[in-house]
Amino acid sequence: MIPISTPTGTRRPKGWVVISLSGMLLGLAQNQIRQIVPASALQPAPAGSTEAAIHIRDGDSWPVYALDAELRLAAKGDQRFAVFLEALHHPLGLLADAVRVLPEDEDLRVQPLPGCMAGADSPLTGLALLDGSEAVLVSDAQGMACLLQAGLIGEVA
Amino acid sequence: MDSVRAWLLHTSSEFLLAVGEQELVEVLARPRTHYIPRATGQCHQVIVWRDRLLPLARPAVLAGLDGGGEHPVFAAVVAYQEAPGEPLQYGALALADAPVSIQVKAGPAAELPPLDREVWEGLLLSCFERDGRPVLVVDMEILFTTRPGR
Repeated sequence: MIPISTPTGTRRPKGWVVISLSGMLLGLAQNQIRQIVPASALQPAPAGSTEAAIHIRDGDSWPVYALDAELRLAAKGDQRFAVFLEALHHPLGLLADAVRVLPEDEDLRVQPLPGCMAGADSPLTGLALLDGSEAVLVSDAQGMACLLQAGLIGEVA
Repeated sequence: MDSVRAWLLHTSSEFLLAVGEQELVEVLARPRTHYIPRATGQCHQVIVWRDRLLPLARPAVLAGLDGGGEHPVFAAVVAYQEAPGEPLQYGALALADAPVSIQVKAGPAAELPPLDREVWEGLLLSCFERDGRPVLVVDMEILFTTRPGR
């Protein structure tokens, strides 16, 4: 496991975690990430469930989802990590091919999602340019939780 | 004023827009696009321009027409302001052909093509005719900052 430490008595660092999934880059504030876990540590999801896998932690079961390039539920592939977002009841896991931690807020210059792009069910809050050429889709734990839990993601591809 | 210069933009083979001479900032050939999931049909890609990401709009989609495919031949970078005195903002339009400089003469407005009033109200500024085809003038600030039909 790769814990993201929060030293007591210090300002909680922000920064960003950029995860690669289905050919996209998704940026999330680092303080909304509970944990990053190797995919090898995950357990199979119960048959018939919408989760791609589960993570057993302290006797609790955290759901893990795989998303396709349309941000719809997908079947688990050969992703290497699960990134768990802070959520109301359980942390929610997203399967990722790669994870990059950007320590400073300024490492990702986020611009608001243009109004003309804001689809009614979009979990995105902004966009950012990474390394001068790559587009990062910026979201937050609340937006991703709504997407995953509100029945907006359709059938498993 | 009898006439003004403008740029004629072929946003698809059948849907023409015109922008003021000063509104067009740059034309990019074969721009690399990035797909944005769960965006609107008329604007679901961005391009990189001068160290920032610009929305790439396909206004023909708002008229129920084909948006011209996922890989536009050109992208026109246009400037707009959200209010007088505010800094310039930028957006991009997917084009099927290179812009053409034209002279637009004052005259009666052309007959509008059939458009969804809910979508185009506020967005459409005027319409004129060129070579027997309607050419629309749209409010770029509304095009880039508003979800269609909102």
